[in-house]
Amino acid sequence: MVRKALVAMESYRLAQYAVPISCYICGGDNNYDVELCRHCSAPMALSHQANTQGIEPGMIAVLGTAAAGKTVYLGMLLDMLTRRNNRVQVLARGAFSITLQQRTMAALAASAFPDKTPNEPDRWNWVHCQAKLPSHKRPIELIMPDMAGEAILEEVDHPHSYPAINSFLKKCAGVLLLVDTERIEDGSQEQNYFMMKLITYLSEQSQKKKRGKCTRPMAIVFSKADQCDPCFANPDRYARDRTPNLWQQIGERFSTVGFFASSVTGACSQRLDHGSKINVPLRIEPRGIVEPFEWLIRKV
Amino acid sequence: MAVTIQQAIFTSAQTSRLDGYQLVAASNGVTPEDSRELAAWCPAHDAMLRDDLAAYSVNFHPVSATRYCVSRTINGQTEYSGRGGRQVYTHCLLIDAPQFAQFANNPFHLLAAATVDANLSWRSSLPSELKEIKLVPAGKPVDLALFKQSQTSRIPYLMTAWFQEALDKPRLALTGYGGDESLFAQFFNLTPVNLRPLFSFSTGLRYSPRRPFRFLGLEGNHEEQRRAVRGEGLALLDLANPPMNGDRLRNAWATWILVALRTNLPASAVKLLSQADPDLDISQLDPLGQKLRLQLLSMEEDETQIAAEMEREEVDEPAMAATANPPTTDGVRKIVRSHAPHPAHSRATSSARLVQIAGPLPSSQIEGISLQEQQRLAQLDELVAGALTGSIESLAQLQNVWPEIASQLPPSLRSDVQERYLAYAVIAWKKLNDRRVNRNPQTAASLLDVLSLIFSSAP
Repeated sequence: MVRKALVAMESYRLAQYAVPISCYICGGDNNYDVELCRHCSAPMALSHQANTQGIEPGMIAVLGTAAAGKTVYLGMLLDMLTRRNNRVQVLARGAFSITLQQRTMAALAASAFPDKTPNEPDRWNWVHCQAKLPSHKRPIELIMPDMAGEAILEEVDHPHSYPAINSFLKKCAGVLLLVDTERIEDGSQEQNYFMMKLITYLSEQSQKKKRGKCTRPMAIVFSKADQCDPCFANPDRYARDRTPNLWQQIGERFSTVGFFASSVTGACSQRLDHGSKINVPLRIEPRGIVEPFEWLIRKV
Repeated sequence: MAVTIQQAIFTSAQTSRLDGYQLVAASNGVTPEDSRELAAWCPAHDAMLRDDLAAYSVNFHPVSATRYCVSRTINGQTEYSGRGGRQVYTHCLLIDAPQFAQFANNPFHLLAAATVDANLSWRSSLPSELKEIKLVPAGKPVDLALFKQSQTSRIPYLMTAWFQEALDKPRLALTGYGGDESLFAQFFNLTPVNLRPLFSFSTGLRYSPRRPFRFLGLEGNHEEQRRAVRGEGLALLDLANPPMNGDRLRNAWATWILVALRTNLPASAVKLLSQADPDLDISQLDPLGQKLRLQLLSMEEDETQIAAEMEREEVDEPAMAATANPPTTDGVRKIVRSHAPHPAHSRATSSARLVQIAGPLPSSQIEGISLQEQQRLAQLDELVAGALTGSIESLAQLQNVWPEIASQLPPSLRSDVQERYLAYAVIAWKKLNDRRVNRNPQTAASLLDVLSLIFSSAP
């Protein structure tokens, strides 16, 4: 019986695992072949792209409560900017960056809103894109995740419960804050309190001068404003009149703030599904989608 | 004596605190730390594998070093925000470690007690308030009826593979079990009581790194299976086609599970399992498996008595009868036969059958050996033949006998003997398969067991 055999050694395979890859979002070490960061679940494709292209993308956070319209706003924004326009040109980097736009537009085309964003960071859609302003020669690299509203609030209430959000908000260069106009009009105070918490959290995270204001630009966007003409007419005044606490807090803490109103649908209706109401977008009529983003990247 | 269980409900709702997924209600004993852990572990939107109203998931995980959570997740009505998709509703039961030990550290015992005794209804309607519940611990550490259920059809092989992988890999994604959650209950039934809390699981949730369950039941969801295997540190185990390693490649606890389930000595096996050391560490499972296997094979004649004692206990327990009649075990003891007869009674049978199938036995083909060596090899023939035809007892005996025989043979003769048995085993395997319409993987598993044993390093 033969007791000996020649076996080719393939120890070179192990060498690849000896060099860790840092997550672009949280900085944690990972193996070279993982899809998501083991610490924060951000896609490692962001790190690979940053490493191979030798660029360091900036980060824009899109924040708001659950059902404030973050997914629809981001999806519609990307869809508008990837078409030919004279304002901001956006090119997606990586196939994963198209998913959010694809899902949002497919849902709206089928007269439905996209599904609620799951709470698990591994199931969020991340967008890595290149934005170019007509007045600027060089494009800006940006990363924008579509995070779940409940997850954002959980992180604000209990820091470090979502490492991805914690790290991202520390690093982000600008913030798009979506406020649900529909719920403000309903008289709900929940939007007000959430925004105040968030503004406090962001201002404490930012590096600021002693007794100075945060310089991180912040665009306050009143979403679903199609039902509220005064908001579209003058978002600043609307904020001062209807969300005085938010107005006060943000004026005290941030130096660069813009107020905007936006809507994606021209009209909405409701249908019954097993006794529950489902919102149905009747007409897609985007208004005020690009302006906040354009203002923000100019400031960034 | 009743124990106190805390409750909490995690679902999507509009409350004064926030809109969306949150802990909407909790009993007084749920601490802020518990709430934070539950918010991380509990499933939220679109976390269920199935979308129908009948779908549910049983989940078990630690909440802190001294507290565990057993929960049940169901699909409710459409989510409040009007964006489609169902509300995912999770009802959690929180129990401290000492109280959990009274339920034999078995999440299924706790769930059953809560459903029956506390009359918990798993509805997706939000209660106005939640109170602590009191439960009387119930359930045996190792349930004989459930053990017998594990002995049917292919479950012994499935469980063996599950234990083998569970003790080797940090986390498993399970597929090919047809959504049968009773398999999870059977796994816990076969695990030493104090090690059960180590095995967190969910039976019907999607994969997420945020919920690091040790066992993740993925049923037949291929998309989730692909996502799971892309995740780090998660291995896929297809229970429909469980991998069967040879005996020498298996850990001893998995082998003990196979022996315990394949022999017809359920009462003895349950008794041995119930007697596991309460301070047992997971690193001690291997030696314990070896010890239990040898103990079980020596208990064949006591099976009837042990079974009778267990029956009596079951009858006496509910009545709490301290004045039970003494057992009438004076009569002749009936010996229960295992699936394969005892090697002492089966030599002629297995070897004669194999001679018919695969030709002359190896010991009759080896020349230049003494009479004593020939007798020893004849004994080896019987055990190899028995093991090849699926006798667990023969295999167990072979593990003890072969090293002894091998140490007595000169090295040159030893390698000759090994080659003869290799050739013989392969021929026997082929012939056995030729006699069947479909190939039987168990035959291959038996062959691998024998060969890995024969070719293991002899002293």
